[in-house]
Amino acid sequence: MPPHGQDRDNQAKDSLTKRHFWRWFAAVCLFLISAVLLVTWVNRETIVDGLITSQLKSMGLDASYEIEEIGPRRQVLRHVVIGDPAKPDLTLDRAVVLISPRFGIPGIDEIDLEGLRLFGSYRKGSLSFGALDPVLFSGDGGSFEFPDYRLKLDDARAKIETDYGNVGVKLSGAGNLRSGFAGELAAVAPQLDAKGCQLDRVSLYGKVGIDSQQPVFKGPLRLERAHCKALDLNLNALAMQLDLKVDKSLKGIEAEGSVSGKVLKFSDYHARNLGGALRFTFRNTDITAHYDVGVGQVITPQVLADKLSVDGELRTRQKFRQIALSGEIDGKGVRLGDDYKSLLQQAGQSSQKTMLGPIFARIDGELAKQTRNSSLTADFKVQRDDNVASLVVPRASLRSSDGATLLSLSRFQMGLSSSGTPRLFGNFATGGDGLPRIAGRMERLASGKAYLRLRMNRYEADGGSIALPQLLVTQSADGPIGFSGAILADGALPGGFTKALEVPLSGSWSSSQGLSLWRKCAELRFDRLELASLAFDHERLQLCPSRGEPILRYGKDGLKVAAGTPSIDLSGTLGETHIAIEGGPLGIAYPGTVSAQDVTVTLGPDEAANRFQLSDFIAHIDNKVSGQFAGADVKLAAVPLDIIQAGGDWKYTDGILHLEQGHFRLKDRASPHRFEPLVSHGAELTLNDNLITAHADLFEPTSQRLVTKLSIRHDLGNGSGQADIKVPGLVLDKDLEITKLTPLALGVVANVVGVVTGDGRIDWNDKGVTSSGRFSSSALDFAAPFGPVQGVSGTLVFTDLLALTTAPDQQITIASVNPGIEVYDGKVDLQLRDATYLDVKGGVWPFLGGTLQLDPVTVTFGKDEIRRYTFHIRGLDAARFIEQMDLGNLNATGTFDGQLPVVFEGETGRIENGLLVSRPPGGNVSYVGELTYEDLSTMANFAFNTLRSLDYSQMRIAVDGDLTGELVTRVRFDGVKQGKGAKSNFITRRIARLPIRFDVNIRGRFYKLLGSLRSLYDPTAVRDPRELGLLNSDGTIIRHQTSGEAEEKTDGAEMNGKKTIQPPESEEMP
Amino acid sequence: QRDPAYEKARASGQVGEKTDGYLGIVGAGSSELRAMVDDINIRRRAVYADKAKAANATLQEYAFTAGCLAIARTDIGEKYQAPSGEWKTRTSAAPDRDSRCP
Amino acid sequence: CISVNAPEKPIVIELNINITQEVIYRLAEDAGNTIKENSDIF
Repeated sequence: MPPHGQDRDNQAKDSLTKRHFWRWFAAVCLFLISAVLLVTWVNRETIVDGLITSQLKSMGLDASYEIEEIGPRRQVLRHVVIGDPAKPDLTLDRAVVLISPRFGIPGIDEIDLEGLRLFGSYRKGSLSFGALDPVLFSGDGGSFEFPDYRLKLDDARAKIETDYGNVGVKLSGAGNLRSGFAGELAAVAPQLDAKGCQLDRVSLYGKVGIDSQQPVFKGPLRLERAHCKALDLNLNALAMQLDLKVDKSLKGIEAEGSVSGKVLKFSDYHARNLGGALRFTFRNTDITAHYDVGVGQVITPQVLADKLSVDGELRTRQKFRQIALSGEIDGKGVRLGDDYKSLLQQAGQSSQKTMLGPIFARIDGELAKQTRNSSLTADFKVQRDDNVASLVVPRASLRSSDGATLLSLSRFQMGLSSSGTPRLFGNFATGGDGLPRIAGRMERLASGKAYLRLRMNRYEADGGSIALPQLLVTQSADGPIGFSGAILADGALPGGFTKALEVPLSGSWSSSQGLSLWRKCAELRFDRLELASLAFDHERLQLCPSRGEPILRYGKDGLKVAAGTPSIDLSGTLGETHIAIEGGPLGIAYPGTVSAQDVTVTLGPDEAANRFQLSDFIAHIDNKVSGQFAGADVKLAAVPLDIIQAGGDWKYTDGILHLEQGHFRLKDRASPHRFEPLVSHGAELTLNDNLITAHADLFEPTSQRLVTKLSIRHDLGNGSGQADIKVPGLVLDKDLEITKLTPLALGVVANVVGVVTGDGRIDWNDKGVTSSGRFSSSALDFAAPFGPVQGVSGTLVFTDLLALTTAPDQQITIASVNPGIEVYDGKVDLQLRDATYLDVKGGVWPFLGGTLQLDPVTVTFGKDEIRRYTFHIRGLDAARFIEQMDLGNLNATGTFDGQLPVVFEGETGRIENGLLVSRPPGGNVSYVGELTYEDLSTMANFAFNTLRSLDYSQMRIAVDGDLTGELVTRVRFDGVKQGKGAKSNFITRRIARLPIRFDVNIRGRFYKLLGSLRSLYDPTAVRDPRELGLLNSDGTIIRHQTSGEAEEKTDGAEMNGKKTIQPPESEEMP
Repeated sequence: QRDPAYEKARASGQVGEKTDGYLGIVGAGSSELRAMVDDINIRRRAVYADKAKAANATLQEYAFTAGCLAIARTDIGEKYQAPSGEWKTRTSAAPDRDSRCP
Repeated sequence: CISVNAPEKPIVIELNINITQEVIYRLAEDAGNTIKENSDIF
């Protein structure tokens, strides 16, 4: 197309000035021109041929063609082939060039091309049409201009091979190239493969035209399917209705169009039914675009939306170094994506046992409900300058179907700096009925430190509630996030419940170390805290971290808690009973143990409080809660017994506390205490719903002998309970003295030997303590103040066991008691009161053929008192008496009654005014043995012979003196006459008739009274009276009795002077 | 091997050997001291009762004899009862005993 | 012969027998052993 534009301008300038002269001249010229024209017309074909060939040659094209017709206005070429004939770059079936008659060089009016075939290639970024390149891409600067002639294309096709695949182009149309050209363009690429993306069936159809030198295109660009493996990007059925206009200078494009697509998938982001309008201009690498694009059924891991549309502007400057993308998002049915939903549900699951569980569940449910057809409006601006990019959201709000604002964001700015942690600032608030109200402000200081202040109103879900009165999150420049504030919670806890629990929050989170909370001491406060059956009201508990570790750390290797509190002081209730816990340091470690030292637990209202003092207490908390305790002192209010230094294992499973392997010492709290401490091992106790049941075997510490088997039931609720005491067989002997069991026995009894069995029971309630028991023995020996006692057997029924008080009339039998004189087979009826008074109701012993009867008397233990026992003798058979004393040479008959008052003071017992009187008709006393002292004096002989056999109508024996020592016995025989076998002669018979009263005062050991008689024939038993100065060498009685002081063995205090023998006459015989 | 409390009471002169063979409290004694002395005397009496029975003597005689020997063996500084009844402190010299003591 | 009329008051023949025995010497040895055997209470 040779340029013609400049010629016409020159002619226009010359004609005006030389019009006349030239008129003539013109006629000649016209004639010449017409001649030239005629000649050129005749051989136009060769001219044109020459012209064309020269033109082509000048363009360096080797082409071949056939001229079909050359005319002044119409040249027609056929079979034009340009480029290598074997592989032509361009072929033409027929080309018709219409020339318009113009002055000078003929201007092309129209070119018709039919059957154009063009072959090009686009390799490594450069487009080339083979031989045509020089023509097409003259690139000589100068703004490109469309030629001013009509072009008519009929079935023009081009095939461009590119690195990515072949593109077939089909073009037809006609019109002036400068303006008015209109045609149809169709470009199809069956498969393009670009940078790992495979595009199938890309096609471009549409109307092409040139409108005042601006190429325009209108029509759809379609893409059947795009699949990029690397990006995992899939688009299919993408279509763009384009309306392009290219700048005159071909340097800029202005386009407008609509876009639609069926399925878009970019890794996990899915959307369907893309639709929208687009308007953009592209000028010297700057894009300015307006878009209004909508997409449906958006599925992203974070957010789902039924419909999402965004309209706004994109502006790129300086070859994409500056990008400004802004727009307004409008969404319908915007809901939480699976990721956030499962995060929420997972949080709910893991915190199920706490109040957080229902809260997360409710949020999940409400969110799903509220966001069902929610609406989202947000405007945003993305700014990028070189490598600093930021997202600004001046305003965004998500509203529920009924218009309530679920989430509103204002002045939100997010810096997308290169380092990992995002930099955020702005305000946000959440709402919507049934959803928590959270309001927050984010800001960033110049120093790079960012702050987030957050506040959440009380949010409640079936009984539990959470509030964050204040939470401050700070983020330093290099990223780890720290936070501090407080959390106010009500509701369920694992195995418990709390009301108005206030927990200060301070800690930090970083992607490397995870979450760590409370580096400094934190004070928990609560109105009410219930754990199992423990409940505390209005308390505060200070927890401190240990050794620089935070109290709570939750990171890669799971949850770790380690806290201690220097002292605790909590009061509340265990079941219905009041409980107070104070004590020394408490350490909590999870996983690990809870340990406490010197803790005092008081159960029950203050004045009746049961006090548990624990020196140390360890609890392991893993699937079951168990541990050890030691040094525990337990003081049960209701029972006057103390458990001290208790220890053992314990475990707490489903509401029941078990204590096992328990060992403790049991002490009587009363003072003076009634029994010495006993020890127990292997005891066990359970606390179940306020009921304590315990079983323990109690041993005497030194001998380790089983004393009793104890089983206790105690109701903490009403403070009542009972203890069963079993004594299967308590063996007492020198290895286990009674004083080792009870101090009360000291000074009362000693050397207790025997086996005691029995059982007892103690009951207590708020009214008081009652106890009872039955204890018996079959053969108990012991030493009593009044002498050894052997073979005690019987059963004592105690009406008040703790006070050691028996029921009245307790029967015991005593094999023998030796208060100085041994008496056998006694039966005593007694009652013990308050372990201090022994009321002897009576006692009876068989005594020498008769009975010895003890009158009622009360003995007070532990008191130095004078004890008076009055014994009544009935039916004492003199013969049995003699036989008992095995006095072979003596005979006696007669039955005696009387009484022996015995007075005990200190260790010695005395008979005072003891009296035995024979029953009528009296009896006989006779000596059947040989007299060894032949040389007795006449009087002695007379006395002896009288004594030899004596009948008496009444014998009275008065006895005084020390049971264990010397007795003075005054025997009076009345109605004396010689008994059978006595040497009787006239005198004795005469005397017999005389009212003779024969008094014999015998001072000597009662016990040995008859023994000494025996000594009459057994010298070893008696000292020779003569030595005592009683009898002189010839047997005459010097003195009736020893003078008393000197030789006699008098026991000072008792036998003082005033007690000398009264002359019988003055004796008042009862 | 006496019980330490008993040993201390003897050494400190709170208790002393009586002529009748039993232990006595010198001056006012506490209830614990009295309980201890009673306990010892009960045990002595039980022994005396058995021994006297075996030796064909009265308990009192046996006790008196034991008393004589107990006083004889008192250490210096311990207390014992003289025949006159008053308490004396044993010195290195022989104790003042009843004439009938063996 | 001697007639002995019965006086209204009975004739009292009083005989005082004072039987004391010095067994102390006999018991000394026995008591000594007893003290040794029960040294815990002596």
